[in-house]
Amino acid sequence: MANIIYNAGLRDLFKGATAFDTATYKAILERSTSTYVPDKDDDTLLNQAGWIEISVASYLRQTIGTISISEVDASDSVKIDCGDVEFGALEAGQTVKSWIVARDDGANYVPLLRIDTDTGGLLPRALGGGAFTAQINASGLLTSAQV
Amino acid sequence: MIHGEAVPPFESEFEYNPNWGGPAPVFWISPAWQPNHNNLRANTLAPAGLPSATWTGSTVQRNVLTSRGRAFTFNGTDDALTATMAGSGITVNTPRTFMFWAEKPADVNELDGVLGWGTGAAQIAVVYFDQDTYGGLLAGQQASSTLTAKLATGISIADRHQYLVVYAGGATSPTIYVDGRANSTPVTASLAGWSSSLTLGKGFASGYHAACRIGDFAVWAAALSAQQAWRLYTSSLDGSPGCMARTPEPQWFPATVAPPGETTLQIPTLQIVI
Repeated sequence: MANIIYNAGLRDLFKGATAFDTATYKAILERSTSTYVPDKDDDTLLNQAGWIEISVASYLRQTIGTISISEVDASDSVKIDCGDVEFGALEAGQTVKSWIVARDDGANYVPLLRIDTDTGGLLPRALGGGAFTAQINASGLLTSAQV
Repeated sequence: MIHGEAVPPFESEFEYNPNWGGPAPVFWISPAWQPNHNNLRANTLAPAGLPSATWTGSTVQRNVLTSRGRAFTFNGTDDALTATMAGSGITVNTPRTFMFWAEKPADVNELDGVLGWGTGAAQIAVVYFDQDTYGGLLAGQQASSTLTAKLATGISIADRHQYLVVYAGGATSPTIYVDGRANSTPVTASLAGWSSSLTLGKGFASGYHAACRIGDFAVWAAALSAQQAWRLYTSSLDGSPGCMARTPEPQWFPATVAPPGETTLQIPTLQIVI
């Protein structure tokens, strides 16, 4: 697969109450045993066929924080950024298949983006009992620009 | 004395990096601090001052300089170095961590003592090298002859390794780390005891000397975590000072090895095209 941005998430990103800097967005870890086949057309996440989330004892979905949205004149783009996401120490025994950001709508979550290919090539990554962190690129989580 | 003042070749062969990013030890002794092998001296980071260390045994070994730096060098017969860990804050059964770099080319005695606390009948805690029975290292209490922990996987004690003995306090078994990784099997949960009297190169008495080379030795008044153990070990990879920076041993210290259990995903920036 490849990293994707979901259509429904992109829609929400620009809409009032669901905007990235207004609504609650969370980082979610998909487990390797998940058979979920991601599709950009997916409007929800947790109720997708085959979906399995990491479930070790200390795992919790982490709220995306330190959000900023700014124009970058030098590159004629908009930078949509957030802080690194720390899950804390996660017990060994399960493997992370992908890292997902989704809007918490109180139900099945609206997916924004799914990362199954990290820059360091760690995914899929077995949990080892230590700290698990998603380090956001210095260029931001997302950039938007005219082509 | 500031450790960084040591100028090559008066460096420790097996070196602790004080800039490792964790808490400072309450006691720290380095062969790099006193290049004169006839005038060994201990140093301490505790506010109590700078106590002296006393060498007993051979007059021809002590603080030997090699091409890689200096190391306390013990003959396994009568050499020992004693010092007082004043002002450590450690009491009878409070947490503590001991770190030392060492190599022991020869397995001379049945139990070769690397270090111990107290003297004679008051000896209360020791760490031994023993290749044959315990796969390299064990920790115990001499006074009660209680073995508290041993290595889970045997290692070659003839090679240089960094050892940590981490005691969490109370009636527990210590955890032994070798080269930053936990390698320990608990044997007996036991009270640790304490004495500020430290002995290097001898675990108990005659017959328990170790023919070995010991570099920097440090004590923390806390039980370091697994992550801290790894960071402490890897800080010598590219730290300055750091023995591995001068004498890399890639077969022991591959730079690409991830800390045990830790993961940092690097999330790429996704682009929205308009």
